[in-house]
Amino acid sequence: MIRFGKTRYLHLRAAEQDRSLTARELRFVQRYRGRNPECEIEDSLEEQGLDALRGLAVAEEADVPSFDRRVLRRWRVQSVKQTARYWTPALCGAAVAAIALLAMLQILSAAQGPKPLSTPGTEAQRSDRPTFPDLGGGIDSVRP
Amino acid sequence: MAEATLKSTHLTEAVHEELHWVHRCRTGDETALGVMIAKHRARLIRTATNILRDRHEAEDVAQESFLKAFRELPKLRDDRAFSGYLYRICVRLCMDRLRSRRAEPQEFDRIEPSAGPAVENKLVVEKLLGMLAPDLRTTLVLREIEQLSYEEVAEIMHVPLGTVRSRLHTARERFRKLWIDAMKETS
Repeated sequence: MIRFGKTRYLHLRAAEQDRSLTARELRFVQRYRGRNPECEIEDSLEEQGLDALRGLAVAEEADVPSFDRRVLRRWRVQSVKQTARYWTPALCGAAVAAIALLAMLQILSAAQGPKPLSTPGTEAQRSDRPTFPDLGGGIDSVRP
Repeated sequence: MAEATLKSTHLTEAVHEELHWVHRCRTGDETALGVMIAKHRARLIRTATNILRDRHEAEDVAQESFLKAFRELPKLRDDRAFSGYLYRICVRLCMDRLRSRRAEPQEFDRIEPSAGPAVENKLVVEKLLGMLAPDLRTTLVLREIEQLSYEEVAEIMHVPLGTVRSRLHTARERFRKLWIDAMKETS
């Protein structure tokens, strides 16, 4: 079934939540509801839901005696954490650890350094024989 | 007329007092911090409880809001904006908490029939709120439960007025559908 004026009705129903409708608008809404009884049922259900939602409001005064102290304590911790004095021991410890690590690595690398080339037969030796090939007759025999 | 003048004078005094304490807070004065906490605590916890529906989590969020606001106080240009700034931080932290919550399947058949219709409705509404997106839920709570104006909601959520209107419309529509479905399911 096509409901004429449904868009206007929905618009007015939404507007009803924030402002009071004019007499003309109210007449239209009532007429529409009269023509469509299922809308009226749904609307009353919705109103019931919104009432239940509004009823969830926490009305009582939030009285938390230790709240202020806890916030201030956390504030002090936070403030101290922002100072260099708080971080100095940690930074010194980290620096000492880094130096110790570097020293250890240095010692280890020195102990496991490259071995000298002392395998027999692999050393370079001076030869007694001429290293150039003998071309037969020597350089003088070539001259005229 | 005289009443209006008196009210205006009281308002001006309150603003001056607030400015004085905020100024002292900037220097890290703990007395001033204590005064500001005592002044805004109740409202902050109430709003966070309304949004999160969990008192302990709300207190936690309120504490974080104060700490964050005090930490970022040097960045605040106008001392008069402190309360709004604090409130905005609180709402944002609540939304972060809602986003980080795991989505759980909702059931309506666990409600004790002996609990009474008011308690039953309350439980259903709390579950329905949990099914809405954090943005929609927060807008709906600020408007319907906290009874804030559209302008106030827009300022707190840091969104344009049109966005508040559209979010509120969507939130109401979704809530309406969920509520009608839940009522049909329980009946």
